[in-house]
Amino acid sequence: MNTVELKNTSRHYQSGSLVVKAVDQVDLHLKKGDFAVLAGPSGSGKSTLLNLIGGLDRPTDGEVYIDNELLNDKSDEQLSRERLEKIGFIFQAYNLIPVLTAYENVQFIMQIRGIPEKEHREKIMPLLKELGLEGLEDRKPPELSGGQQQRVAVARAIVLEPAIILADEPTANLDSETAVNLLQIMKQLNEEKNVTFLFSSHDPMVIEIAERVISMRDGKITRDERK
Amino acid sequence: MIILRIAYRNLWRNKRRTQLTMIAMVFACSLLVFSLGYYDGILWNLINNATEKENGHITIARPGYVDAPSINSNFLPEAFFDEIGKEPINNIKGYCSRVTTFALLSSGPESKSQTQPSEIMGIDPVAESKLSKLADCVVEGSFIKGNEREIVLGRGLARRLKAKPGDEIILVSNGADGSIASEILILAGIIDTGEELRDSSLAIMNIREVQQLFVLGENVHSLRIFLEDPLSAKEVAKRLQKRTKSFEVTPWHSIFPQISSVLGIWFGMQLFTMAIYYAALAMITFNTMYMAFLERMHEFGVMRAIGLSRLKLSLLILFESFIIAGISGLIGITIGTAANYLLYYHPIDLSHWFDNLSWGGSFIKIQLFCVPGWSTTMMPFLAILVLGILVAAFPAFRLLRLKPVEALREA
Amino acid sequence: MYKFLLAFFIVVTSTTGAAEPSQVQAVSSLTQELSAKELVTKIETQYQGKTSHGRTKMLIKTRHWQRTLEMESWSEGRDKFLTRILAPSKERGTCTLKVDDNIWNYLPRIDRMIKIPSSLMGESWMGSHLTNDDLVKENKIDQLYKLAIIASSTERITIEGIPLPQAAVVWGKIIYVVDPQKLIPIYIDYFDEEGVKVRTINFSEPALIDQRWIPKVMRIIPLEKPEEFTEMQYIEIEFDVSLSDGLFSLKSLRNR
Repeated sequence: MNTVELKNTSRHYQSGSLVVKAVDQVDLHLKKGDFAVLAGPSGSGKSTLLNLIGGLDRPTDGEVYIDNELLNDKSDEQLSRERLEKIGFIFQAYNLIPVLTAYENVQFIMQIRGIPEKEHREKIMPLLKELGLEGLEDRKPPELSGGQQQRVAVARAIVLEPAIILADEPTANLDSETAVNLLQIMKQLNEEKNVTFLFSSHDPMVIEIAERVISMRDGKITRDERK
Repeated sequence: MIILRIAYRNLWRNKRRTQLTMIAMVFACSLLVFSLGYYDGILWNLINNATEKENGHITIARPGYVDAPSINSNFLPEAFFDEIGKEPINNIKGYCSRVTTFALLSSGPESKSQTQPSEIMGIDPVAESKLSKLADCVVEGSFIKGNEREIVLGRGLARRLKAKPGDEIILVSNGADGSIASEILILAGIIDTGEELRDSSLAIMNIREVQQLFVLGENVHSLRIFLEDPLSAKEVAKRLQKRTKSFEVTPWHSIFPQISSVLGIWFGMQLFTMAIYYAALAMITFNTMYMAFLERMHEFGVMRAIGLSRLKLSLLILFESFIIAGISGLIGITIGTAANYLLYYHPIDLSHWFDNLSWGGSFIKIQLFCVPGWSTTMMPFLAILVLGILVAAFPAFRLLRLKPVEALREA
Repeated sequence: MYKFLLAFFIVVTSTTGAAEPSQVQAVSSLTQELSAKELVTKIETQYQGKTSHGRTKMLIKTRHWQRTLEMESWSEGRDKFLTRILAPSKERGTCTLKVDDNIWNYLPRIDRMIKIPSSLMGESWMGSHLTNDDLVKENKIDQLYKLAIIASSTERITIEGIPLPQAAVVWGKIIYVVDPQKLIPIYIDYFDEEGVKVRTINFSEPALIDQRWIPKVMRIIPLEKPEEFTEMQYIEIEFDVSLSDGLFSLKSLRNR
């Protein structure tokens, strides 16, 4: 069973008289438990592809399935729900709501999901501990380092146990040590909890850790190899 | 609710901006509450200078008496109080009993005496001194003190009778039973009510003596009720009228229609003032709100991406604005009301610098006098909440249509 | 409220003059030829002796009260008249003096005299339905109105009176109905300036006194308050009596 399935998926933009083929006729399958990286230079279509999978953007052609559900037909509100329930997002930076503490940022997603309040703590605290954030739960994002912030973002992405976590250049703003550290945590979660990860990067060190490397250029997948 | 918590915390993110916005709101709101209180102060002044002098805020009399007074249209005050029952009515300061009738007054030596018709008003000097401002209108001599056979004359009447304080005044009339009433009175003082026509016929006596002279027993012609808040006269009159059938309850509005007609204009003026204040305020706050909104596009994009619905996101920005408006409004009305209370109890007299204005059978005393009021407080408060929602309406609308991908691209 | 009782006296005294019964016959046969003015003047003056002295009861009924006054009165010609209240005792001694167009009241309780100013002539006299004006003007119908006979029979002659331009009269028109046989008024209707009838005075119970017919009762009905009236009734009347000098003077008011 495929967690993610793209069938001949394209995302073209009209820019003046020019058609920009951000994603062009891509076929892609991700299985449960995949730890995959989208590699390629900037502008190769990595972000657009992630957005299409995450239901943040709509394909101009082709089909996108998450857990065998076609996203194309869904309304904005349904997509919103879909993201909440099935997808975890980690962005390059500024992932967190600045006015909420680390704990609250994770809790936020549980609250909008409507999970009873009493379940929050027992779920969040072990997770934060596991991510090495023990004792930092009451700090607000500006009081956390870049790596800590990204780990909180990981905690938030993972806490509802989504089908897949999409991470758009999660290490781009981190120094290499912190970046590797974050990747290792993600890898650990992948191994221990069988969480599916798809992240984009052009950092060779990050690409090194991935089990599956999907290379992109000019909107097309040029190579897809498992280590 | 998490949205509310975020909204509230967001206020303190850019403290300076929030503070400036709030200062503008507090300033506008408190100044508005104060202005409306001041308007009401002028209105009270106008109404009370007309009503508290003599008429009172509510007149209780037998049906038809107010339009066509007759000496025989009298009643025992107890009859009225029995009828309205024991249940107290708020806002009433007290009442004055009055007897009104007509008599011929003359003065001077018999051979060349002056005779004038007059309206005799019997008053209870103790009640009047507490409630009405009649005694303040005395310009010569003194008011009724409760001595025997005292009479106070309107200035014009005294002039026509060529009488001065201490002079004898002869009264001739017919009592309630038709019998001839006559008495020799002593002119105690001369009164100037500010209305020439009235002063040319008004004569005031102790109610006890009028009752005796005109064979009225303990009966009176009217009870004049004085209220804390003259603007509530209509409503209090309505409540009283519900409890009695054999008496007519007339608020001052019917007796001073010209002043009553100002009420409508006044309310319109207050709304207009509010509109001006808040229009200016809206322009300032919209600007800062919108700036804050634009700066946070990326954040909104993240929230939408992790699954927050459009509606909740719009609510977030509405709440933020609503909370700012609410807090500022509360502070604003507190300051404004405090100022109003201060000037209610300690008005500042400005009549040294400005002349009083005469209008519609009354006059406006030039003074800094404010009246704190429920509606003049709540109206600015509710309006500022509405304003809070309105200035956030456009950003909220934009959030409804926000494309997360585009928002995320904003750094 | 200050209503007064003089009018009735004047009307009554003026319509009850001195004449021989034989003359009555003669006069009444003449009335056909008399003009309206001559007829009214006859009625107004013929029955007025040189002087008169009488006692009268005045009943005043209003919506709120009813009272009866008993009065003694004297008159000399058309222009002098004095009345004094005998009962009730509270008002005993209250006098009204009319000389020409002036009226004084004397109030014994306070021992003071009040002259009624011209501006108050329309006020009530002694609480009755008569005004001070009535006392002054009522016996001058022939001088104040332009009179015309508008209906005539042997029992009654109807005369219409329109105020003369120079006459300061409050009425717009009067209808004066007289009995040409007895030479007495039957009733007088008063109209305001809009032509609305506002007052009626009815004369009744004619009696032959001193060889002249006199209506013993006169009732004034204000038509805006039809349940109210003032009724005056002779108890006794005598004509051409000798009156003391200075009777119609302010001094005599106080001394009585």
